[in-house]
Amino acid sequence: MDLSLLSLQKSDVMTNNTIYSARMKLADMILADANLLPILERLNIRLGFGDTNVKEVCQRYGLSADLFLIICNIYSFETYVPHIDALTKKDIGKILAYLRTSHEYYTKVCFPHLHENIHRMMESCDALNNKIINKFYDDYDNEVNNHFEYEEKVAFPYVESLLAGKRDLASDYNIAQFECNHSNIDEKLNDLKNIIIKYLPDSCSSAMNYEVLSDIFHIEKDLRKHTLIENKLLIPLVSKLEHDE
Amino acid sequence: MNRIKRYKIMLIEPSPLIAAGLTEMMKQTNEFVITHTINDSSGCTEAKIKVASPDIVIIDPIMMNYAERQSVRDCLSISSNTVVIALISGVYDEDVLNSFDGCLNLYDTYPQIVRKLHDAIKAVDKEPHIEHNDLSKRERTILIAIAQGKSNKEIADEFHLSIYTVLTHRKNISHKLGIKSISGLTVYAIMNKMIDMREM
Repeated sequence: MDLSLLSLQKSDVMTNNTIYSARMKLADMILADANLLPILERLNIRLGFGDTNVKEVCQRYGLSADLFLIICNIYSFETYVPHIDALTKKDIGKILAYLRTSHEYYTKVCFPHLHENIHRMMESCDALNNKIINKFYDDYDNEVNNHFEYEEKVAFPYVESLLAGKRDLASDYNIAQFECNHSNIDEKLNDLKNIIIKYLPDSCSSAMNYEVLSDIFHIEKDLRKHTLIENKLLIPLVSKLEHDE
Repeated sequence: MNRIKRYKIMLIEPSPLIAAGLTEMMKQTNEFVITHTINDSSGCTEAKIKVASPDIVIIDPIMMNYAERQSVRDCLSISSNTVVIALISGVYDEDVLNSFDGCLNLYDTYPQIVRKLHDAIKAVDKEPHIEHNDLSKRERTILIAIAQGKSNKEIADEFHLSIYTVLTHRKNISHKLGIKSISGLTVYAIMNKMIDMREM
């Protein structure tokens, strides 16, 4: 993150405990922190917005600036803790859309890329290590797919029916159950990172290992933010909605 | 002629009575000699051990800070070929005692103490000096059981441990290796030839 931008917005830091504000030009934010790029893509905000500020861009896309800024803060600042006070029922739908697009990005882009790279990394390695690492990854891949599938087929449709005011009274499913079942999917990625860095024999070391590691670091970070959005935005907002009904 | 080796012992014990007693008792043999005694934990214990380079360290676990839950070796940075014995005057967690090569009890007789010292020396000599990231012997055994797919309950039964102790071991293993998942631990165990792929 560009330090000059940080100092520029000092008053915002002091007052709102956030750094980005709705008055900032979106282009400046992106130039200061490339981590924000995937957010635009996932919210389907197209580039070429000139010097318009965050508020104007959000209005154009029917998005609340509060939600947009919270997501940006999550991606830019590791220690940021989001507050949902400013968010409304309307934002829940946007969050769902955001999460769905991220899932698609993970399952169609990130994980296949990682899979391919792991396969290539292990090609030059002995048969045993090749086999166990590939098996480890395949098991993980299944776990991730099940995780996303549960969210797409059970949790998200539930939230949508709740939003539409069509809560199925026969079902006793609620968001607390989603919270309970919400497993941590980046644990095995961290294990894999350690295995590659510390334990894979050096005869297995090639330029591909660095590619794989940088893939893992990238996915891990993105998943962490993704999980934060689910746990700190979606779940509290939906449980508030359940409560208000 | 098989010349008996003379082992230098450093005793770290806060009670002057116990320290004097053990020192006196060890005078019955030429094999073990207590060359240094420390009775306070003034913080320079680590340095004193380095300087004295004893063959055996006998320490009352009460002298260690367990808040960080490290093994005694890590705590005092004792090299892996020095024998570390606990001198127990209280009740300690099994995990604490597992990090020692042997345990002396206040009520042990002289022959018992000598036998325990010999056992510990033998065990340390036998142990191959391969660094498995400093996993203790017990942790390695448990890691193998985890990799074989055994549940916490099964491991507890097999090694006569409480579930709580098994969980503590698991936590320590994961912490040392940086690997938390069962499948990750299995990969580690196979990679290090601790189990066979067919056992998966």
